[in-house]
Amino acid sequence: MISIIKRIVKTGTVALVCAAVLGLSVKLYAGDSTESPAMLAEHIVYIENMEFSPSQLQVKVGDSITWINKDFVPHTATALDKSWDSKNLSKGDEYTLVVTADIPTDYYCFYHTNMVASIEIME
Amino acid sequence: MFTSLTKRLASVLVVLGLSVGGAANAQSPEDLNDLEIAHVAYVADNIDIQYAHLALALSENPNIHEFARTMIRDHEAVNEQALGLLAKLGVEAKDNFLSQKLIADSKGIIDKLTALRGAEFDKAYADNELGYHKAVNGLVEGVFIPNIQNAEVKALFEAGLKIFKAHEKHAQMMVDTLP
Ligand SMILES: [Cu+2]
Repeated sequence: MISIIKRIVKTGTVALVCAAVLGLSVKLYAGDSTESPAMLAEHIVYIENMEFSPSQLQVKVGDSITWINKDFVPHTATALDKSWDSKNLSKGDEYTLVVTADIPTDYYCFYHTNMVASIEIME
Repeated sequence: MFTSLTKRLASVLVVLGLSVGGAANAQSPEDLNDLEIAHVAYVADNIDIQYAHLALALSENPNIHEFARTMIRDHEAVNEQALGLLAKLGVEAKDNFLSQKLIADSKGIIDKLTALRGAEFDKAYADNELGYHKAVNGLVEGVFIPNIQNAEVKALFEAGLKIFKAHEKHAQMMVDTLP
């Protein structure tokens, strides 16, 4: 039993040594999606039947969010403090926002103020 | 089920000021065909657009102005869809007793609103928007949608109802937050 544990510890040590030899950082193993363009996501929020769908969206810094209006009445996607704003979106129009760390996450439709939704910025 | 629908229908008619009982040959909203229903909806849209223009002219409250602009934008969009569909189907909406009743009622309401100013106007406009959307939504949901025969016309009314229900909520919020 003890010998098995010893072997596992040894194997782990060997792996770390190998990584060091190859010049790889341990951080790379953990993965860092915000620094890798391939990991960035493009999210879509549909505005349909007088609702944002999904109404809550998890994103990461660097991701993009695109709102597409599928209703025949115009809508907007507007930050509560108006710091970002799609302006008028008629049917079929879309608006894309790239997520930065400091953007306000609660938003609404300026035309239909009871249409509210939010994004959540994940670490 | 039947009883609750009947009750609901009765309350809708009362809100619209229509007689629930009446003579055997009296027309009721249930008797309207698709083309008459389309006419009622078109008239109802235009009445709300008129109220909104009045609000833009008489109110000084920015929230009332935004709401009124939304009513104009959305009801015009609905009318455009409705006219497009009627043109595609090669038919014309047909005037009827209910369209005429709505227009007659709206004249009295416009007279009443026109005499008001400031906070009094805002309150009366918001109350009227809430009551009007409630009444029309009840009619659309309880009578028109179940009775419409054409599938495309029905689909348009279902989409319209979602929009008007959002307006009703918006009007409720306005009524609740007016000073
Ligand atoms: Cu909207």
